[in-house]
Amino acid sequence: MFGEHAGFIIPSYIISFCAISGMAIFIMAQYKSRKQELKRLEEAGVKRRASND
Amino acid sequence: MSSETIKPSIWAFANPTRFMGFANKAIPVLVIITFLLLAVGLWLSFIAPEDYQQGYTVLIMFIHVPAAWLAMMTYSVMSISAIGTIVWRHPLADVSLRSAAPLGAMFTILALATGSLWGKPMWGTWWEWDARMTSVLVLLIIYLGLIALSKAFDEPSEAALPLAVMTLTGFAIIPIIKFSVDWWNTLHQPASVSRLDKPAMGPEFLYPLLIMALAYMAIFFTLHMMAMRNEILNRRIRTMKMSAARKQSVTIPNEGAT
Amino acid sequence: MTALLKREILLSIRAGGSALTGVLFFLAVVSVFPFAVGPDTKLLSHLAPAILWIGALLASLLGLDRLFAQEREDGSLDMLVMQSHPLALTIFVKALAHWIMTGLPLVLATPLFGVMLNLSPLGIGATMITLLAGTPAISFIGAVGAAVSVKLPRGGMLISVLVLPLVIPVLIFGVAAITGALEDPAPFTAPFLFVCAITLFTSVLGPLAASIMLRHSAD
Repeated sequence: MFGEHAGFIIPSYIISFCAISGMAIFIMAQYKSRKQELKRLEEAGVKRRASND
Repeated sequence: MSSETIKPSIWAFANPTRFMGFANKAIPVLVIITFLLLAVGLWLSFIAPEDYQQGYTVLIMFIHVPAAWLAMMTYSVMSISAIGTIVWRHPLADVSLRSAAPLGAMFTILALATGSLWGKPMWGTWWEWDARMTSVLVLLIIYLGLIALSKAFDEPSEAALPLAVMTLTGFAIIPIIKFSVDWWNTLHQPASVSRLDKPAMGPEFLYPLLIMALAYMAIFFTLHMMAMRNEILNRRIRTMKMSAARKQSVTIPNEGAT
Repeated sequence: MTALLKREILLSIRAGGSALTGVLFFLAVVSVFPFAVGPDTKLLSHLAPAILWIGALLASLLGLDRLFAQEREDGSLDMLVMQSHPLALTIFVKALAHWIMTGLPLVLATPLFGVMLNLSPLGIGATMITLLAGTPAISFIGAVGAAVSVKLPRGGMLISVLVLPLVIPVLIFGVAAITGALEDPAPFTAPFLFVCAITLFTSVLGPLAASIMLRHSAD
């Protein structure tokens, strides 16, 4: 397809795609786990601001 | 109110809750804009004609140059955030600085990697110690150093000012590295970079490049906002865990440490 | 301020001759190069300016983590912050003392190592002048790194990682100036003036940034 340099063009697109989508997936997974953690803590009865001691 | 007195810098000055509300609304919109720009940019890139000098390798330019621009822009965003931390001690500024650093490192690595893949067929070498590439490598080291610094403190809020001061110090040196291009080239004289910059670009290359740059910017702002949201949640969890631990240590003193 | 300078220098002499340690480290770095590169005199004399600069760079990083550590430990850091002199001026003097104890001895030791590396007299002179003009910048930038990591228990490595990329411009122009002095078409004055400019620039900005940092960590 991309002439004689396809071996350089395609990897550079693959690398960029993998890095950016990897970063996005990581951030989304982190968001999910943070949300769960927050929920778990709230269900355990921890208040966000420690005004109760 | 004990946690308020111990950690006033986190919650007293700004309104992260309002930011969270804004982010939750803005992120879906940003995602849509990002995908639209990416689709248009990639489409324009792939219908762009073959360059008479570079052949199809111009295709690499459409992802290499935006990555390099974003590597610099991210540092500017971090520096502005650093000013926010130093002048106003605004916690959101610290959150912004901290979440931007890994993204900046990612764009810098992408710029270096795609540049390397472009350099091999065009100049016959993966790596050249010329001023442009070396200064970008230094930028990467600065990013990684800042990430290391942000993780080095036990108490995240204590890292805010050191990070900001170090970020700004790094920014003061970046133009100096950039100016060194002329000086260093007189020694090493790689025809490479100047050849890359010189061709006055035709519109058939310029438009896809600009749209791709916009798309990369959209990627950055989307991921940055998402990372900031994570960081705020992180701090909430931290505060809650600390107050939980403190409560526990009041009732059962011996288990307070666990 | 001269009193503070005297006190700083006396303290570091009493602390075990950091000047001597710095020069010894410099010697160690310089003598490692011939082992790595091979005892080719021609090649070594070609590399000599770079070797001397790298050695000076690494040796100047030594002891940076101690710049404020002692004040931090005995609590006199708060006194420094609260005294009537501007804090930035105090830090300037401390960085200057650090340079006198680590940078200046290296400059003075350069002729010896230059001869060992088969450097021409002109090259030795150029190296000494550029080191004299350039190494203060390392101390001034290093003061920022030291202030940033003053609260870190294990900050020593981190200082080097943070400070080294920032002193690369000094290295570039320093070595460029020496090359300019030795080889004909390349200019000497322009890169040398750049070295001087960086040193002057950092002598103001470095202490200012460090003072912001220290004032924060004191309260």
